[in-house]
This record gives sequence, structure tokens and C-alpha cells, in this order.
Amino acid sequence: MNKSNIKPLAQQIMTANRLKDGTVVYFTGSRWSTEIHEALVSDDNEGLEKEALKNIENEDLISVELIKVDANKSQLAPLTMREKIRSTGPTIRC
Amino acid sequence: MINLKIIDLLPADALKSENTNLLENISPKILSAPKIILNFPTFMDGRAFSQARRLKRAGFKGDLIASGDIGADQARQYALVGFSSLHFDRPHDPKVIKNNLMQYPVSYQKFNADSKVIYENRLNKKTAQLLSGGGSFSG
Amino acid sequence: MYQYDAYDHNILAQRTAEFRDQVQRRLDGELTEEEFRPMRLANGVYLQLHAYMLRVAIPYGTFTSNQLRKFAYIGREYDRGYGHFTTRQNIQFNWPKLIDIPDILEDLASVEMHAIQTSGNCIRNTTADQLAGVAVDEVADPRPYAEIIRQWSTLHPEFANLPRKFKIAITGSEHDRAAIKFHDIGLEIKKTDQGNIGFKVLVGGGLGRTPIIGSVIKGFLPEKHLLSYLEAILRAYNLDGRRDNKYKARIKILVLENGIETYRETVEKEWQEILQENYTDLPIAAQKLIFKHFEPPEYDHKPKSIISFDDYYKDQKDFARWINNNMHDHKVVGYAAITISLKPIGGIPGDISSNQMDTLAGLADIYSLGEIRSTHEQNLVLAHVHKDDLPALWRDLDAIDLATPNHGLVSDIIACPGLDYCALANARSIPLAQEISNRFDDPARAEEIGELKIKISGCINACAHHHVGHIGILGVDKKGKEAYQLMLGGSANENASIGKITGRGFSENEIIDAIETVIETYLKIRNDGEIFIDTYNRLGMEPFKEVLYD
Repeated sequence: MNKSNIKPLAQQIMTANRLKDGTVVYFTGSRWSTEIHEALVSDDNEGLEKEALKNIENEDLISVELIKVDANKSQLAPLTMREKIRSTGPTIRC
Repeated sequence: MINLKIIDLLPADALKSENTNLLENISPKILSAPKIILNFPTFMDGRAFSQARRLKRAGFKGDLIASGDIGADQARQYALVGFSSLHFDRPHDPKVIKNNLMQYPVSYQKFNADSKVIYENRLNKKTAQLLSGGGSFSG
Repeated sequence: MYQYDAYDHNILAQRTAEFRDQVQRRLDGELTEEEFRPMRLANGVYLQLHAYMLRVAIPYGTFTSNQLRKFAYIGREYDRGYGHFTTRQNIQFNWPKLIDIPDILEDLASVEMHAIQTSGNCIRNTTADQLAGVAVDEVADPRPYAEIIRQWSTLHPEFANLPRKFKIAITGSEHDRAAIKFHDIGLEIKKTDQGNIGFKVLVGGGLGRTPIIGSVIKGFLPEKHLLSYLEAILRAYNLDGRRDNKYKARIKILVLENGIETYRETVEKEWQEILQENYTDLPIAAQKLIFKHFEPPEYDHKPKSIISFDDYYKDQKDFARWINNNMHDHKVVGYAAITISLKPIGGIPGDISSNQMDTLAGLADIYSLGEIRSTHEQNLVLAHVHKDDLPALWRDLDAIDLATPNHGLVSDIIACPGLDYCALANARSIPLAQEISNRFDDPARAEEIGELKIKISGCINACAHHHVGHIGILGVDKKGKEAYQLMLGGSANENASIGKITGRGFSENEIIDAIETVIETYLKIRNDGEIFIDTYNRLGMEPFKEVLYD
């Protein structure tokens, strides 16, 4: 079997911005955290989204979306450059 | 304060003008209609603001009704361009509409012989005294 | 400079109260995000990658030292100690909290500033020549007209939901420092042989996905009819501009699809109707009231510097360099305008710290009548400095790292915020600008290269005007990786042209070398006295292509 042909299921996490201050947050499975490493990783998009949306009401969140991550690395990392920068801040200032 | 009616039902006898109608040439039939409805198909579609201006300029004296995806926070805007009635698609708070209509008693723009415009107040001796210094005033 | 009266103040006070109420209703859940979004955008509040962003309008790029101190305060109090000057002569703050924004707007209103119409599909901040009122080549000062447009366009109820955003630029000089050919409406002040003032009106210019040079719609518009004619253009566009496709919604597409002749006829017909109504144009007396604010200041110079300009120029090489590159002629003998570069070597184009802002405000008070200008090239200008004071000013600016002598040179780069901040970007812009700036950090080499405009956009929306850079760079997303297209030959001034793509794009690691290759090639093949754009115009793309892709 040709190994390179096996595509692992896309691992995803849920992210959003807080309404009151815009802060980037991630869904941990029970709450929303500012730490990406606390995010709940799942290949069940619909289930993850459903669970996250259940936990939105009291949080006042906007721009809620699923993003793809690489969960195989020691540290959880988004796949796109956009989400990498979104999780760590501008690359030009600390 | 500006007068603006909020209506729950669109009158059946009103003339409906298509949102794509540029109203470049306005027929006597349209001008003499008692009521005309202009439509905002989405909140972002502001064509009916200009359509209202053209109808009023042509001399339309009847009830000009804004309908569709309109906002309570924009009530004054509809009134200024010539609408006399609003018909909302979405829930709206009468308090917000009332507050909105009381805001900005004078504008930078003039739309008809009666509208209160800042540049005229600046030239009028009575109101020109407000020119000096900052602060705010009422009325 | 324009000073608010009670009417202007009252409009701002009401607007601030209105937005405070809207924010509260949003937080209380009375407004949905869908309902609230257009309200916050109408007040300059975006949601970016990491946080909200607040864009503050600087009408025609002119502001006072007190206003600059307020920017410094806002940066320190509500943000992270800095602000960012944009290509629309505005300033934006990258980290405000939504719950703080009503307070920020109140602070701004206290110094006659606001964020109205800095976003959304409305008439945006009118931009102008940064040397307005002092340029030696000026027919007339564009600022009073820009102020007339500001007032007319502020909270204009009819034009709040146009098909797309709408940008107006105005210049009083034939040499165009305001890029009027790339605006929805461009205005150039003209004077007839009889001494009558009016405007050449251009329409339908723009960048973005479809870069187009504006067409002349009216050769000479008498000044008293400025607003009625603008209103005719806007109304025709509001009614007939495309709304089916966001990327075809700018007025340039309407003009392109109908042809300028047809569009001119439509506008002319509407204009005649507006003239008959006679509500829109300002009466002469009202216009005069606005002009009063822009009477030339009194230039009664009392020397503040004990150093002789000539001696200092001879002895101090860095000062001489700064004078050669950053000083501009002034219509009053003995005075000069100075560009304060916001492009320190390796720095972030357009960024300035709150501490720098505070010190600069003090310097503007001492040396330049308390007034500062912002430019569409993301720099600042002090427009009224006596030449005797330049040595002292230079030393004070140098002490806060604001004396980089690179105006118009290779490191004076325009860059949009790019993927470091922007939710729309495909690639980063700022790190590229920093690398180019570092690569060409030798000021002698930069002067040898001469005038060169590099512009870097992180996506096709072209906020950094890459199409009109002598060298333009466009960031794209190539299978999840940042990549860059290279363009040559653009120009935003009176000899407007749109750059051409060199060929296949470059990776993040290749693009800086590619730019250096282009510049080195130009140095080899240029004739005496040529700047980069001259050589490109003479020889075209070929010599550059050959070395880039051999």
C-alpha cells in the first residue's frame, strides 16, 4: 500500500473572538480559552461545532469558525499561516 | 422633531416602484399616486434613498413608504431623503426610532425648502452666535 | 486650519452618544452581530485577526499638536502604546476593546476628531496633497475645498449605503502628490486666464482587483458648483452602480461598462436638475466662512536655534543628507516643509509610538505652528519650519528616531498591515518591508539608487497601491504558503501608469533577492540622470525579466 495516499481525517478545533474585547479564544470542550493548546481537537466537525455552539450563549462570541490543525506535533499548530499568526500574534512585534 | 409613520401593513392601493427603476423620467401617473412604496431588498442596498430624492424633486406629494430590510437606527435617514412612512421587515424598537428622529436637529445637507441646514444657520444672525467656541446646544 | 464651531461639535457629541447606545444594545443582546456590524463599521471599528481595529479620520491629512497628543494618549491608554498611519492619511489603532471604543470616541471628539465613515460603503475621508497651502507649484490651496466636501459628505443620508466604498482626492498642483488618477473621484484645481478657479474632475480611477486610471469627466467645473456636481456623480452611481458582485461594484466598473461618454451624459443631466433645485451648492457667503479658516498663517520668525544652517550643513553629513532628501520648498521665502519619515531602517512602515507622538507634538509647537500633516505614503510632514531652525529640529527628531533621511528612496516603502493584522490578507507585508529596508540600509547606496517607490500589498485589495509602485509587490497564498508577485513600472503621479507583472511569483525566501536583482540591473543599464521609472519606461520589462528568470 502506498503510504502517501492515505489522508488522515482533518483534525479541527473551534475558534472565535470575544465580543466585548475582540480577544481570540478556542473551545476546550466545556469553555472558551485564550490558550490554543487547551483546544479540543476533533475529526468530527459537526459534533465539535454543535458542542461549541451550545457553549456560546453566555460567552458573547463573534466570528465563530472551525479551523484545521496539525495535532501530531508536540504543540498544537493551525495548518494555515493566517491561523498560526492569529494564535501567536503579529510576527513583527511582541 | 420629524414626523414619520410606522405602519404594520403595506397598503394594498400603494404603487410599488421596482428597486432597479432609476426614476429618470417620472410619469404624471406616478406623481399623482397617493402612495408609493420603495423597497430596500437588503440593508446594504441604498438605491431607494436616491429614488426617494428623485420622486420628491419631481414633485411627489403623497405618502412615500420605505419597506423591506430597513433599520430603526436609520429612521432619520429615511425621513431626510423624503420618506413619510416606514414598514419594517424585522422587529424594531419604537424607542430607538423616536430617539433617532430627535438626533441631529440640523444637518450639513439641505434637501428641501424646509430642511434645517448648518450652512444657513451659520449665515443667519440669530443662529450665528453659536459659531463661537465649542460646546453644544439644543434645538 | 479648520476649527469646529458649536454645530460641528454638536454633530460629534450626538454621534458619540448614538454609538455608545448601540454598543450597549449589542452587549445587552438587543442587537445581533448582523445588525450591529454596519453600525460599528460606520464608526471605523473593524474586527481584525487578533482584535478590533479603530480607524480614526484625519480630514485631508491635517492635524494639530493637541490632536497628536490625544492619539498618543489613546495609544497608551487603550492600545499597546503605538498607532499606525495609513495610506488614506488616517491613523489606526490595532488593539482597542469594543467596550472602550465609546470612551475613545469621546476623547477624540474633545479634540474635534472622529472615526465616522472610515469604513463601509460610503464617502470616505477626502485626501489631499500633504503640501497643501505651502507648495510652490500650487494653483490654489485644496484644503478649504476638502473641508467643504468633508462637511457635505459627513452623515449624508442618501449616500450611506453605496454599492461600494467611495474615495475622493484633491490636489492644487499639477504635480500630483495625492494620486488623484487612482480615486473614485479625483479633483485638480485649475485657474482660467481670467483668474477663475475651478476643477478638472476625474472619475472611475482605482486599484484593487481591476486597476484603472481615472477618466476626465469634466475639464473645468466652476468652484461654486463643486458639491452639486459631486452629488450628481454620486447619485448616478448609487442608482446604477453594480450591486450583484462586490468586485465589480466600484464606480470604475460602471464607468468602464457604460463608457465615459455615456456616464458623462447621465451625470450632466442629473446635475442640471440639481442646479435647478439649488439646495446643494454652498452660497458664496457660506463658502467664505470656511475659507476664513485657511488663511495663510503669520510667519513671524523668531530664531530658536543658535546653530548656523550653512555651517551645520557643511559639517554634519547626516543632517545634510536629511536636508537633501526630506526637505521641500515652501512658498514663503526662508521657510521649508519637512518630511518626517515613519520608515526607520528595519522598522514598521507608518508605525509611531505614543512617546514619539508626544515629543513630536511638542516639536510641532516650537517649530511648525503646532500643525502636522500625514501623507498617503505613510509619513508625516511639518509644513512651516524656518530654515534657521532646521539644525535644532533635526537634532530633536534624531533623538527620537524620527530623522531617517530616506524620503522617496528605496527604504521609504508603503506597506499595508498584511497578514500580521489583517483578516483579509493572504500574505505578510511588513516583514518584507523590513527586510528590504535592512538590505538597503546604507544611505549612500540608497541615494545612488535615487527615487524609488516600493509598495507592498498583502492581498488583491491593494491597500498599499502595489499597482502604482515603481516596484510593486503583491502577496498571494500559494497552497497555504506565502508567495509574492513582482510588478514593475507603476506610477501614481500625473504620469500615471499601472505596473506589469514580471512573470512567475517568488517565495518568501526569493523575493528580496529578486528585488535586489532588479535594482542592480537598473543601476547597470540606466543613463545619466535617470531614476528607476525612467529607465523602465525607456527599456521596458525585458532587461529585468532576463536576469530574474535566467
